[in-house]
Amino acid sequence: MPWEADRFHTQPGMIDKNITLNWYPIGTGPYMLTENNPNLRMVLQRNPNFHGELYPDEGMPGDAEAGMLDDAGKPIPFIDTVINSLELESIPRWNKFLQGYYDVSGIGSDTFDQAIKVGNAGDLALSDDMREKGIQLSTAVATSTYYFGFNMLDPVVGHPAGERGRYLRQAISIAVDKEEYISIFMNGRGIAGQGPLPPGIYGYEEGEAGINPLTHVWRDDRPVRRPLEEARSLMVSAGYPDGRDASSGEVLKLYYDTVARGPDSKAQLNWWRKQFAKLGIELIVRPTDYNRFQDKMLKGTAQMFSWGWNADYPDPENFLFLLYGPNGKVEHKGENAGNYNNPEFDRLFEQMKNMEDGPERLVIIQKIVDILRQDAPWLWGLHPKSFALYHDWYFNSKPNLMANNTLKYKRIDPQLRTQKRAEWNQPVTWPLWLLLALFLVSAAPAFISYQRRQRARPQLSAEEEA
Amino acid sequence: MIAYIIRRLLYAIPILIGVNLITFALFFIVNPPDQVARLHLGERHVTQQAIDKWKAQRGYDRPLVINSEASGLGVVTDTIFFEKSLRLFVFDFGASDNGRDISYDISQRMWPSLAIAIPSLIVALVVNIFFAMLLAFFRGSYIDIWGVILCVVLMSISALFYYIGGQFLVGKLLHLVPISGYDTGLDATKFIILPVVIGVASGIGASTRWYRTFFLEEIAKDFVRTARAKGLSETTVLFRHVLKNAMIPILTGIVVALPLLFMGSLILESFFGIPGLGSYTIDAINQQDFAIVRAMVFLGSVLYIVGLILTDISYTLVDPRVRLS
Repeated sequence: MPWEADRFHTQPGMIDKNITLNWYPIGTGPYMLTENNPNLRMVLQRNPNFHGELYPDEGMPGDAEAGMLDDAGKPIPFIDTVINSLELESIPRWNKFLQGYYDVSGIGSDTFDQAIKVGNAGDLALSDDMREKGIQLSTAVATSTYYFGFNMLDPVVGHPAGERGRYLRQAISIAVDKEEYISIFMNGRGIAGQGPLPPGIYGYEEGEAGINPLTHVWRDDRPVRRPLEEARSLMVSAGYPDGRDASSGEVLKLYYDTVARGPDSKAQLNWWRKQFAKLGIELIVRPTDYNRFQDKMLKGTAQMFSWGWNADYPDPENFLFLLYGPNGKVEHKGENAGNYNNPEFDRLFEQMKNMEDGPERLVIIQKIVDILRQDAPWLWGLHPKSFALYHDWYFNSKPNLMANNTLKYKRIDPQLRTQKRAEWNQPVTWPLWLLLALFLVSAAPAFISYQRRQRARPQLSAEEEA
Repeated sequence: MIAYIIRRLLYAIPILIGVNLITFALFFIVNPPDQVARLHLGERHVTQQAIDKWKAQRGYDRPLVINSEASGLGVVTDTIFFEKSLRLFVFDFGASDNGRDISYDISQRMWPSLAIAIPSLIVALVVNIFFAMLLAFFRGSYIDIWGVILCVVLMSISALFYYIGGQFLVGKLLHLVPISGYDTGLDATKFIILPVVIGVASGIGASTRWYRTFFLEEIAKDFVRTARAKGLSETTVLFRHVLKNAMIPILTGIVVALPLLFMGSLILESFFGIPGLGSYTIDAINQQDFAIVRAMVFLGSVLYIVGLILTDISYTLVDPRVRLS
């Protein structure tokens, strides 16, 4: 950005008139923000002074077959005007997508069954209604992780508990059935985590090599959670047979701090209680607002918590630093929310973080992941799968959840869109006439009754009426 | 009457200070300035230095209500509460925590709210009075009985059902108007029709029953009996005598709500994508933008007080027996 732009916007009086850089952004990209009303719509128009760029002529395997390279070598962007409208509610947003007024849509949990059908083998595909409309589906696993963390400063589940704490965390890691959670609460839109790294990040391993041997075994070409007996056996090693403290006989009570509150979260919280109850542990949920939750995390007073992380950049460092000792939240106010501290992990992390991707780095990452799996400072949670629907007039759509500059590659067929919109949205007026007729028919007896009453009374002259 | 109005306006000052104090206390008990700063700065890699800078730039680095380090009046004036509240009394709302001018945003967002609220109010008034008069005219007959039953059914249905059902039926199945959205100028008309129609329909049940009660109360009075005894037609009795007198409670009920019209309706605006003031406060609460929350609560309080004063005045206009003193 030129310095003149900065100086222009910092002139006295500009802020008073709401002329600020964040409202009128300046850039050199393919689009200009010509209308910025985030409460209604934001309009992007082709930048006539864009330096110019060509559509790529090479891609990933399968891209050419999928038609992704049909526009290779053509100047981009293809679309002149892009309108981003604000829709606060999911129902009107979904209906307008089905009417063709939006080109792309996500799938909410309330419309999932309408859009997606689940096959006998658990495979997900577009429903017949969607296919008839020419709607297409693209899916991608997000480079995100949603984990359940242990506060490693806690005397029961953390470092101070030593081996007992580690066995306890391992037992819980087996008992909490994340595959079931994904199936019940996310319509299957996610994959259970096997470690801290999500798919798409260097160091993530697919298949049998990628499973967490502590919690899963590889069977029938897929990871299968280890039996509950193994978790119970670990509970014995931890000194909590059947969920009771071996020395005092008291039921083990653990505390879960969460921002999930209200009736919508009741089913999920009950599910969590049941997972811990499998081991005889009583889970006490402490719901709290987000500010209080953050406060507890900063002070280290939470025992167990849920949190998540979206990749800032596609590198394992951006996930593993969440467990790096010097990033501990309580002591260093960093992003290591569980305050995990393992000198061997820290040493390997420091060695790995600035390395180029390659076999040497991969070996170190594998060592790090092995350490973490054994220590189990997190239940590895899940990586959400995003589903996007788009109409058949929308081209070059390939999910890339790390990139925010893919709009310039998109192309639409405006004629097809106009034709389908007109076809799908023909006004239907006969119910209005029917409604009017019904009203008149139902009003007729009232009118007759009115006339009868008027005739039944003595008639006065207009002067007398006045 | 002028003395009465001045007295009421003076009464408003302590009320507004109290409202401000309660809003302030509730907001900052739930959201201490550090947490607000953390939310605005994004949750990642936020240093204490960045938090302190953010607070200093927006005046949140002072003590909340009492500044024990200051001397003299500074104990009270050099605080967040005093600094942020005093200017409200001259309607200087200042800037939001995001740096936007709040007065400008209010002036922009009030029009879409009014574009929905005013037609809804007028159409609803006419329709509800018409149906209430109809029921009153046929009182005791099957039309009245079934009309009241229908009203009870209509008022028992959640407003959300009207919104979702209306959008589905009129927008999605019949394709008569857009499901949601908004535009400027005359282009807004096609977007306004559905929320107005649904807004009116969702209120018919309750308002018709309410107005019917007023009409029936008036019908039972002596002056109506006298009018009938004179031989006047039922239509004349209803429209010339009953309606005029029943309008007193109806109008006063409307006058109190008039100033609040431009505050918009949160749920309706949210469902129909209307960029009005209804969602402004809720968005501000979600973003923990105290400047906007404070301004909107203050404005709401002022408008409510104005509405009550207007109601008192309207009593004197429609009922000569009432005198303000």
